[in-house]
Amino acid sequence: MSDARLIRELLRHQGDFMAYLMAMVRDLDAAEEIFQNAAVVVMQHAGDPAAEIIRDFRAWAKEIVRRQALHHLRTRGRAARIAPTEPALLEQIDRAFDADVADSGQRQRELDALRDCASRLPDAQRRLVALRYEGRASFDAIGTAVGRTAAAVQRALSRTRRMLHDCMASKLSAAEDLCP
Amino acid sequence: MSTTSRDDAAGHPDRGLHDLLARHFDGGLTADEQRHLAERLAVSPAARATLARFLRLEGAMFRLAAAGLIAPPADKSGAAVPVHAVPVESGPTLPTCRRRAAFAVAGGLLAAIAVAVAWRSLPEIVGARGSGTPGSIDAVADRWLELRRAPQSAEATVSEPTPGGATVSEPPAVADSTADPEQNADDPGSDAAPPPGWLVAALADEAATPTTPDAS
Repeated sequence: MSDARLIRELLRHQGDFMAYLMAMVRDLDAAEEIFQNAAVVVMQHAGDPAAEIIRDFRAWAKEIVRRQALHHLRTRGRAARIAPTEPALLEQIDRAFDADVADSGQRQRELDALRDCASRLPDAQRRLVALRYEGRASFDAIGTAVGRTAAAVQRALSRTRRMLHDCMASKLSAAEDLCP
Repeated sequence: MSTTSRDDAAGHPDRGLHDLLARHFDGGLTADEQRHLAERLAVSPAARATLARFLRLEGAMFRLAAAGLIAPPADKSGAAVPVHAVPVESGPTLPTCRRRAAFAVAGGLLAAIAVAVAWRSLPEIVGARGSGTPGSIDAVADRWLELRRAPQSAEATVSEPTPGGATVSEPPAVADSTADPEQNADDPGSDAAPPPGWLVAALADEAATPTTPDAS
């Protein structure tokens, strides 16, 4: 696989892999570090004749990402700020990721719906989400910025995620009802 | 395939499951809650589909964030990357099924154009997202150089799966920096591993072409 194609495929799936890593390690800093390590490994295959036969980039690269994540959990689990994820749950996360058959059209519709849902959030709530996802800020840092405790920020972000999920599902459901 | 939030056979959303999943991503579940969630996921394909949907939601959040599309307009200090430039799937957007037939032919053409435009604009996208963004050339390059300077930290790089093999069931082996160099082919800390060509070319391009007007 050419350099250009590897980079394009990696960027194309970056959001998926970051989501997968967040589910695995539940720590944004750790997820970013693991992704970067995995990206280095992926890119080292540029020009590798063996990489020419990659049939499913998402599955192949995800295996690299998974191994990096498991390595992180084994070696840094005890020192991590967040308790390691239960092995049984890791298995189910992996299973759900592998079994996800959403196609590109569905993902794009979800992205469009989410963008609309996010734009309708109250500014204060939207700011929290932006600080977390755009600013890559910790709960502590966000709490300092907005005058709340880290725990309150954590709960608020979880509530917002659920709201966005419900909003997105509602929009897509309405669209499906129009097209039985 | 249904994209809605119907988690049981009767088609009702499972609020408890949604709550557990929403909290999980922020590290808000106790060990007991995690085990409870795992048990539910293990026995219910619908619950796993819901988890997959939350994973896609999380991925979409990262995509919107990369494009600078989450912050309230008043908080934005600079121009955001247009949403069409976000490196997401290359398929066409079909708002409703009623338009699918009309867009079927045009969709294929648009997809090809979108891929071409996205690829041509890749340097701008990467540059606009800043060096701290995972997956950017700068970030990967920084990580590469960091590992080159500190071979002992190369333990973070783990062996890769076999190309073409989508399923690897055995426990992953961790690269040992003292083992056979053949097994360390992916170890950027190894003296035997030169910087990859793509990285050298990308850095050279960036050095030659400022990504912002102020960069010169």
